[in-house]
Amino acid sequence: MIDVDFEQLPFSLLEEDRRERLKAAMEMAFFEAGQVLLEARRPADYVYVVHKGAVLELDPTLPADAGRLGVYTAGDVFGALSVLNGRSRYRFVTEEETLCYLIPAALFKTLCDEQPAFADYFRQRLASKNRLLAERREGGVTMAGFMLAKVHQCMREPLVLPSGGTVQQAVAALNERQADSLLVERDGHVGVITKTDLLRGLVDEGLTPASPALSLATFRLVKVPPDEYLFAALVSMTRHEVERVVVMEGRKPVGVVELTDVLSFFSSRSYVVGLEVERADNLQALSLASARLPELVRALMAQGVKMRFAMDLLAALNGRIISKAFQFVVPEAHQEHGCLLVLGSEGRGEQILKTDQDNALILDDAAHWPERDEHMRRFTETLLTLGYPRCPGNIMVSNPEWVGSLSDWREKVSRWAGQGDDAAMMNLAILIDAHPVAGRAELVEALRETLFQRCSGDQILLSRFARPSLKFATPLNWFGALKKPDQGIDIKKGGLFPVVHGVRAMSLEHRVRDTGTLARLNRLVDAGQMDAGFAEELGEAMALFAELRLRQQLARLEGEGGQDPAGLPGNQLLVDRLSALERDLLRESLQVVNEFKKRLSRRFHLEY
Amino acid sequence: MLKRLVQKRRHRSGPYGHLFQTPDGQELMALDCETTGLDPRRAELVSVAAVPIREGRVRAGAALELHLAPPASLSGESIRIHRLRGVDLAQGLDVHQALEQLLAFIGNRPLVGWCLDFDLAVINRYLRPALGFDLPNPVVELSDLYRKRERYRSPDALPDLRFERVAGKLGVPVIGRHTARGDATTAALMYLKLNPSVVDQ
Repeated sequence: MIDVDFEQLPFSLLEEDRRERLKAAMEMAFFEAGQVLLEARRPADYVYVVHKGAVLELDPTLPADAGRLGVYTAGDVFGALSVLNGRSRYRFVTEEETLCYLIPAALFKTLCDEQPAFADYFRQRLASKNRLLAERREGGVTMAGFMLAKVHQCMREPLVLPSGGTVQQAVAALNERQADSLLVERDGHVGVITKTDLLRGLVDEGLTPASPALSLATFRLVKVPPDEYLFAALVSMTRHEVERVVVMEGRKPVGVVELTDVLSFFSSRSYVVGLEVERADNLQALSLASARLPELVRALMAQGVKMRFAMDLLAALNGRIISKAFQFVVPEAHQEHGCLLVLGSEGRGEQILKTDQDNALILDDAAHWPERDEHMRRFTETLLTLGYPRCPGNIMVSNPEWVGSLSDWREKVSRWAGQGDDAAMMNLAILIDAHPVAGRAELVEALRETLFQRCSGDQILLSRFARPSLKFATPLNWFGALKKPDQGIDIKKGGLFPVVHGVRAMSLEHRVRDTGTLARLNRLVDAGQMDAGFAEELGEAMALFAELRLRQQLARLEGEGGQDPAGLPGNQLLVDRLSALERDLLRESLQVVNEFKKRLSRRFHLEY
Repeated sequence: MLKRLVQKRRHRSGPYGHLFQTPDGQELMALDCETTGLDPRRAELVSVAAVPIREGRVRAGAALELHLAPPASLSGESIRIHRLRGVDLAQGLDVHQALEQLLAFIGNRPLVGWCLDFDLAVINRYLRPALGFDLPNPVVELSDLYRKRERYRSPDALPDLRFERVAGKLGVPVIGRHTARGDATTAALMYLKLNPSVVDQ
């Protein structure tokens, strides 16, 4: 009787008859606490599956504390790499009395030879393991259409109007090809003419069918390369408020992707949310569209879309909703004199579900706006009705502290920087993540420049700024295993925050203008401040935390009205509910966080 | 004892002679039967499983499990206990084939089990008319080992001798309770825990 879940990875990768062979050869054995199962640099005779108990992975060349690499508990597999590589890299010792299943090395190797996917599973590093997990979820292998679709799979042949083509020729071509737009070229630049442009020309501008169509073309195009993900094209359309993008290979147009094509490609109602946001011309319509975002998130998750793309899309949509609300509430005359910023997680583009509104307003020094406070109060109320709860820290435009002219803001920055206490550091941290959503974006850049000038060279300030990243303990115990207190582990404090804040501190030091953590990591790698492998691991770890947290939040949303199954706040993650593989990934990711904390502590001199 | 000597003398040179040789002690067999009742004089075999134990390991994958053709006395009561219905057993072996296979599998190895008296009584009831002898294998009775251990540890308390409780006390997971194979595996693991000399090897 083999009590192993063969439906879980990695055994689910084996075909039925191989599973039977594996089952027939498995043995069981007890090991007392402190027994060495695999010695470092010695060949391994068995692959072990823990049934009960715990096994430590140690690096005997390191001092006891640093040498603890991992802990394996019920359901975990170890020794596989040792068997595949011929010998064990580290020492495996039982931490407590442990019951293991044993798979003879010879059989394991045969299985790996016969089924390369099985062998690959064990060779994966953290990053690739994460990917596998995402792909397998909810039958994600066949998610086909969505994430794996590239632009060239969905684009139309470009319909090019010969130079000097007339309106009549253009209409004929459009009709013949059942298209909505065609391309024109002028002085090596590519432009686009839509059906709407032709109508405008004929009706408003008094062109005749024989007039040349070139004058109707728009030359400001949104372009994407053909091997870009279709998803990213959708993000650009949402961001630029256009209904088509031109696919360019070098300087040559090779196709057009229409919004309707993308939508029918995805064919699920959820993706229409973006369109509904764009079409909303009053608050009520906007709030209807906004209420459907969780549904979209759920659909994306079910399709196994990568977190960073989901974040991008949701950030673009949230940005559009807030910007639209701003346009509805603030009179047009004032919109041009200010810049609305979203801060914190929204500013970093990492907020997936609406948590709370963090925003601020910069005005140019010429603004004259007496009824400003009233407008801002109304704006905050409006966001509230759109489903963005109030910020508990009152970091909102309805609070006059977070509204001001550029010179006010500069003064605030230097005051905060001089103050140097925790609250001031938090305000600076919030401000660094600022991202413009409406109005004059250059105001934010000016403010960011001020921030960098004041802070980037100030080592004492940077050290104070970075300190909070060590504030919360990583929820790993002394042995490097997950802590499992009954109330769950706080994934935000223990995992997300140290990564986000640490990267933020390094970005402040190195004047990185991007606000997203993943983008910042890329910049830091480019600047030679972090090695690419580690940055990737940090990014993957963050994506995992965000995903686990999001799933918890979604489950809570579903439980609303009924009751939350566990009655836990959204950031508390119950380790028991994760599968063995997810636990494994979480553990590894938290170890990456620990490593990052160590580096931060050296870099910013936090160790006293 | 005397009966065993007589049977050994009678069968030593027969086709089952190897069963009577003294075991080499390398391997043991954990044995468990599921039957139609609790009275060893009338209960009939439903399934029987043997799990080898060698060098401190339970060779759970290499276990033998035999299901027998439905006996006449298969009743609703026993179906409720081990969930084997008549249809499950329709493909089963007849008793004699099953015993042949079992004997070939266990050989002369010592048998390990929980309250093995009952299982042996049932098996021997079939074996005696067919082959003329009882199972000659040495027997390791787990409940005796456990009682001895408990008496040593807490001499005054009466040990709780229910199978699940004992498994829990020993830190052995109960695997597939009320299937012959599951109970035999659990018994084998209990043997590892009760016999420290094996673990030390």
